[in-house]
Amino acid sequence: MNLLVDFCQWLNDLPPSQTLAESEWAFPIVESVHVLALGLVAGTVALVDLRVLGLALGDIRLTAVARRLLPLTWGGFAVMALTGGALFASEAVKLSHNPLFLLKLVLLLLAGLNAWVFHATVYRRVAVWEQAPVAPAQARVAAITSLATWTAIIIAGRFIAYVH
Amino acid sequence: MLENLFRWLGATPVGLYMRDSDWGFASVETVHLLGLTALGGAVVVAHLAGAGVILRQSSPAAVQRGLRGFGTGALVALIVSGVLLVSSKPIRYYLDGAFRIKMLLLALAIASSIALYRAFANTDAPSPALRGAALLSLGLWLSVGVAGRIIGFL
Repeated sequence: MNLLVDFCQWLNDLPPSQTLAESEWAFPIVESVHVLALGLVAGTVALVDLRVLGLALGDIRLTAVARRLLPLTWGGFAVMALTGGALFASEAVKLSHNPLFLLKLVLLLLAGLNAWVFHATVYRRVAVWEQAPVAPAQARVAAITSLATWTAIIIAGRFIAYVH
Repeated sequence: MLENLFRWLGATPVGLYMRDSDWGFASVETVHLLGLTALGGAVVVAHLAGAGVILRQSSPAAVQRGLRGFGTGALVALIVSGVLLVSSKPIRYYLDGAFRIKMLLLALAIASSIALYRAFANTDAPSPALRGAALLSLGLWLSVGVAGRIIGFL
């Protein structure tokens, strides 16, 4: 635990972290890019979830939707992780005490785990059920879990700024 | 006249609640952010499919038709939550340059998206000009988001 505190302090004291924390314009710009990238990640994830649930893009095959949107999701994720890492470094000590920041990290892990389980299990057999009118229960549960988790990530992320 | 409308909005019970409540603004702002995420996904996919960047095997019209319900729902949530946010400090927003620019860009983005939706629905082979227009319209939506973020800093 002490190691983690020391790490946050070290990260916080790095010259680029200090520059970001003190700059009047850099922080808002990086934060804006973070929010827009998050929109791309959660937005494309939500569309795949809604396609699984039959609520959007009904005329397009699920595999086509998933394959074409995944590069957008990963591209957005890379930008989100980079900007998120920079934002964290600039306030590492403060954020490490923020319960909503920790909750957001746990939720991100949960979202990743849920996606991984979905792809490793029921999505492997997608060719069997893709043409069916309703996706298997396991796929629908994964889609609903994903939508709920990303909603919670956004709520937790926004409220980080309101909790001290 | 427009200023009176903003003034009236701030004096309604909802406006007074949004002004005085500690968590009202934060909660509605979060709903606004969720709506932005949902609309962002639909807008990016609909426009990139129109531009021929993704989902090339499907017709842009089919992609856009499949996103219409979800995207419209997200836009309605954004507008309702946006009006609530404005009602908390209507005159501040009314006088804010970034807010005025955002509203102008928003009107343009909605109009261009509806026009593009109709144009793509009427063609099986979109022209390069129509595909380029989809990219421009996407840029318009991006500028709405950036202008919105700037409002928060002023």
